[in-house]
Amino acid sequence: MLPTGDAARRQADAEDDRAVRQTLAGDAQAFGALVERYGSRVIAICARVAGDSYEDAQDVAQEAFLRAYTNLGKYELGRSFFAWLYRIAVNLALNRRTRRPPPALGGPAGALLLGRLGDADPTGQPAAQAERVERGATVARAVAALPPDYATVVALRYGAELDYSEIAATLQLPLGTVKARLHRAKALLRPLLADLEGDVAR
Amino acid sequence: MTLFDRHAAGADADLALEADLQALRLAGRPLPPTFTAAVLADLTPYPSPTKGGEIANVANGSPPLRRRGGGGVRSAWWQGQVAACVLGLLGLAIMLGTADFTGVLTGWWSAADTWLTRFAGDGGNALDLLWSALSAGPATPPASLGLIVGALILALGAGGFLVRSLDWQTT
Repeated sequence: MLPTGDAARRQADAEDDRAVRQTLAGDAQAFGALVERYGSRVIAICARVAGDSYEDAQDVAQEAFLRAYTNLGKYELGRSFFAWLYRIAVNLALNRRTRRPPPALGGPAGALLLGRLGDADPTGQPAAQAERVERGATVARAVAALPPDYATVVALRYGAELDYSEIAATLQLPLGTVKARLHRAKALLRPLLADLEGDVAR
Repeated sequence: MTLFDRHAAGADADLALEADLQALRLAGRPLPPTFTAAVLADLTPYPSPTKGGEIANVANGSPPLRRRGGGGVRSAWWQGQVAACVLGLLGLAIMLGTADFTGVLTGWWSAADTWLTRFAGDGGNALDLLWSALSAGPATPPASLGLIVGALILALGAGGFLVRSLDWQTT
């Protein structure tokens, strides 16, 4: 369970720093605790920022953790480990997104993409799941079509479910900038979603 | 359509968009059971800092990490200090190697000699005499280029040495 609230956040930061110290002292299992704590969100960030499937995003997330481990000596204790780690994941995902722009919607490739991006929750009911797959795929496509700065904020807010202050810490931006980007991203998303829904309907 | 209708339609659109964006949620999913093990399998534990101080890294052939406070840093710090000393000595050599510096020293030496002679006789205005002699400098002003360049290099070296020493003390 990830912390909510300032006090819980500070406590979690202290625990993270302890785990970092233990890792640097030779205890690799301590790093495993960090992976357990932040793995889900790192995968979510990689999936939604890069526009990857959940399975592909796991590879990117694994690379993010490896990079964090390799550079653990550069992490400044007392800063937020989670923000440092998420920033690594965001940068890797953005690189991946740059290297592989999302394919255009329509035709078999579009249908394939919808299936790939849908990433249904395997615990869901079949009908509801299918609907959620379709909807999630459409929205993910629309987000993937946003400029990277806006797509990143949306991915962190809705894909990884970070709050505004966590996004600001991760992207090293003022809180107001984060809110403004999110607002602008939503304004851009409305027509994109309408277009995509029209394509899917056709 | 009235203004109210447009506002209501906008609010509905916002709600619909918010609901759509909820479809992006992935963070709530449980971590795949093999994920942590897969990450850890790629890592080699950090060894403790060695006497030489380098923290060997670990992750698949990456170059060794150099951590602040570790011996790797200590080695780099000493190299920096040696470089600062060399810079300072170079500046001193330039100063001594030019006639400017020896001219200034000669002037000061003769002023001090005069002062000591006068002081042995009467100590009255000896300090005033020394001050005026030192501040006046040599009779002909030196070209000073070697003196200035040498002094600047010496200051850079000494300053670098001092700053790095203080930085080391505070970390």
